[in-house]
Amino acid sequence: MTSVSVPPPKCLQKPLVVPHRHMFGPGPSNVPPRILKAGANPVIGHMHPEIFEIMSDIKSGIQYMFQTQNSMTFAVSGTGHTAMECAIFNTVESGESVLSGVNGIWGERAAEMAERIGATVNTIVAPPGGFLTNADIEQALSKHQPVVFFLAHGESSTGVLHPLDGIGELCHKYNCLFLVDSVASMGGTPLRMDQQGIDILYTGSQKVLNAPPGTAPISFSERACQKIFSRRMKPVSFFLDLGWLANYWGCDGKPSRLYHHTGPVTAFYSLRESLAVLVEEGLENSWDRHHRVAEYFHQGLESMGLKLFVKEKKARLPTVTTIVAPHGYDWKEITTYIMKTHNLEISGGLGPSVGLVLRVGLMGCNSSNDNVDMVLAALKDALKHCHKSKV
Amino acid sequence: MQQQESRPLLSPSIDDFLSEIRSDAPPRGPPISNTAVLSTALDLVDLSEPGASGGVRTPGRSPLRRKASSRSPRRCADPEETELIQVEVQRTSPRTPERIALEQVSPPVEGWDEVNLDGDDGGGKRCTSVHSSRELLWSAEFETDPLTKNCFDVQRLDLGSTQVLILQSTGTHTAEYRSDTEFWDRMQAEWEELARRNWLEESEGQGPPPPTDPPVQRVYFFHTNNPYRGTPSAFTEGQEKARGGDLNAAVLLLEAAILQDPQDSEAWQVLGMTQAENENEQAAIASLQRCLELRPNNLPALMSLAVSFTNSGVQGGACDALHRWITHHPPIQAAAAAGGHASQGPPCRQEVLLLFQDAALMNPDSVDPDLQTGLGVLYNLSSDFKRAEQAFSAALSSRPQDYLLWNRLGATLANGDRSEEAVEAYSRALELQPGFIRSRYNLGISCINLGAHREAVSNFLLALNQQRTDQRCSQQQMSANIWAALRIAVSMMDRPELSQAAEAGDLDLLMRAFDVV
Repeated sequence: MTSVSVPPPKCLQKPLVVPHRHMFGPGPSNVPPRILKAGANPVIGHMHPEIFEIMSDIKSGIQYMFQTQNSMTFAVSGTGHTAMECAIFNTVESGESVLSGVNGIWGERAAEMAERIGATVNTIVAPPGGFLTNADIEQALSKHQPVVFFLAHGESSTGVLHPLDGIGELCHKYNCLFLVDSVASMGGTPLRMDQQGIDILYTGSQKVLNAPPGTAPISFSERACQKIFSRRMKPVSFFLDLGWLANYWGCDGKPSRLYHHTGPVTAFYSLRESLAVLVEEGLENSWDRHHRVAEYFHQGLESMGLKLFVKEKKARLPTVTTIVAPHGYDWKEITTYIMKTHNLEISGGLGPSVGLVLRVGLMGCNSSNDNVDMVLAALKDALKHCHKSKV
Repeated sequence: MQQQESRPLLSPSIDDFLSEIRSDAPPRGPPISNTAVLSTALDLVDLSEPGASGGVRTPGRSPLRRKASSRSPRRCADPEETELIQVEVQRTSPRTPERIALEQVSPPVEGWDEVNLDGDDGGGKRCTSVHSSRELLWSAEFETDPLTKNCFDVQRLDLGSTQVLILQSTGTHTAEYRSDTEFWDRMQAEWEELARRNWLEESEGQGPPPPTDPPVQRVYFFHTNNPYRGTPSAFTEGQEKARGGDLNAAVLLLEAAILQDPQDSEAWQVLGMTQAENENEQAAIASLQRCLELRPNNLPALMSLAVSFTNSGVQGGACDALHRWITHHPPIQAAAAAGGHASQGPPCRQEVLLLFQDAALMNPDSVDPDLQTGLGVLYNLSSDFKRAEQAFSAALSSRPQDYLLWNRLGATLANGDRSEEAVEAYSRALELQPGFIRSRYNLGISCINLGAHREAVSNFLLALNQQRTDQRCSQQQMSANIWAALRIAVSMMDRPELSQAAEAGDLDLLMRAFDVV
């Protein structure tokens, strides 16, 4: 018998050490003890009746959170990107036309995904910090006749909250499905799926919900389901095939569930609990709290002489605040300094806003005035220490 | 990529300018949805109102609204988005024929004129910089260095057939007439290309940055009402003024010299170096680039440009300039000729550093202060502040009266968190050259670092006041950097009324409050 040729790694012979830090970047956010504890529950079978019950609770929670009555509501195993692919791979067939609203990184990603499955992709572009008008959108819908229009509600790379009113109607006028990414916005700002005519809506567990990353709530309207279940060809992804997922989650009304994949049971526990927390606070209260805290935060920033990236108040995403990188500073030095000195994570720009902004995320339990005070103090300290001098 | 009527970014200044124009005009279409402001590396004259938030503005907030006292400076806010702020400009006539560069054939200008001529009490002081601000914005080049990923601070305007003349300089550059749409098509295309390239990159966790192309040629913006324009021997006088520390006069005289002879590379060089001393980095870069176009191996210009790029975080440009410097530095030149080594592609910092180090080793017993300066700059680029400090100190041992070197040493110390020592170095620089604005700015920053907010504010105020004072020219420019730093220092003092004044650009109030004479 030959012994193993790859030796046991020394790094795993040391205990696991994870630091405690304030996660005030764009996500993931801190997970409060109650939700962590829920995730520590014993693992049981991914098809045990108890799990199905938990999954059913999750479903109800998501319907409440999304404000929808869609029965095709569940959580994708994976993160926001998984949900994005789930949405796109099911609704779009090769050769079809897809329109993506691009005002940050997420529209670009959606376009990329659609391209990969052979769709003809067109984009409408708004610059960082901006958003598209309904007129822009209608023009593009009419010109390209897409089957799906993608829009990021909470564009976390630029801190913009995209207005949604009227867009659902426009899409339906042009026989198009309305797909909305609310990963950064869900729970922190009003969003009513059915009322706003959204056909596919998804979010992530690791933002306002304060659950660990690993599940992505998603919902499909009747209209979306009709298109999906009349496809010519099967979706490219077996893992994300809606037919299978619907069955696993009991959305298809069939009496028996077939084994599709192993659901992340631990993640289900924490998702269930995070939804319970939301239910206890109340959805509208959560919206309200995030808006108030953001307001308090923005006032504090402006009194420090910092400028908010998004000028129009109503376009500011309450969960992720973008701050213009102050003149005379290297933004990377600011974030590094704050992490080192205050044990607090804030982020720089992402995608189109790289080098231009600082981003601070205050989501779920992190959204509080006390935390705002903490961040402001850290920023003030960084401003004092990190100013570049001119050689 | 589908291109729609995407709304590029709003600049506070141009937006204010437009809202001024539009206040009497019927509303133009749907309100512009974009509201973000991006800081840019551009010189922009900012005319925004105090505390103006740009974006969609309510009409009636006039950037030209005047304060009760005609002596107080016109309110200019958001200078951190710009490098230059023009204050208290004497208005002559809407279109002065002899104004070489500025010509506008556009309804908005007329609208602005109308507002302007609405008459007011004493002084008749208006801001002609509104004209220049439009041109500045519209002609502004932007950094296409993917490393910096800058966007630009402009607005798409639906002004029909507006023609805008972009001032470069007379004679050598051709005046570019651009129509609104042509300009915007170009901007949009470039922006989309940038976006396409960049949006899939994350800022964190990237490997070493890709080599960058040398930066785009910037545009230099001349003062519109230069009292020295016809002055003979303007260059000589300008040089003298610069040496004497009267940087404002120096800049004007040098500009006058250039307007008389735009091919005068030395004038461009001295102008560039003076603007750097005046804490006006973008203008410095533009001038030095222009000098190098005319005289590619001007060593002082190359070194100065390298410094300016270093300060602006443009690594590629700095390395390129230093590479050019060293390859024309006599000892190296000889060695290179002998060795016959050719460089391929844009030089990286390591390569250039090696060249400098080799050159220093050639004469280990004597100190070449310029070589040491180059080394100091290179070490600053890599944040190796200890070595940078050694290099500048070595240079100083050879030239102890060189105030530029004292400042360079100070800044190196400050960036390396040795603020107290930095203060000493700046003090030496200012002793040697009291009019050295950049060093005073740096001094203020070190005061902030040390928690001496009051002293910081005093220094900034002094610098700004120096910049604003000039009897002959009514057009004064203050450095936006200094205003930005001032605001931060003031905001740390927890005096909201002073913060407001700082926001508003009320220099006089602040000077009184801090007893700065």
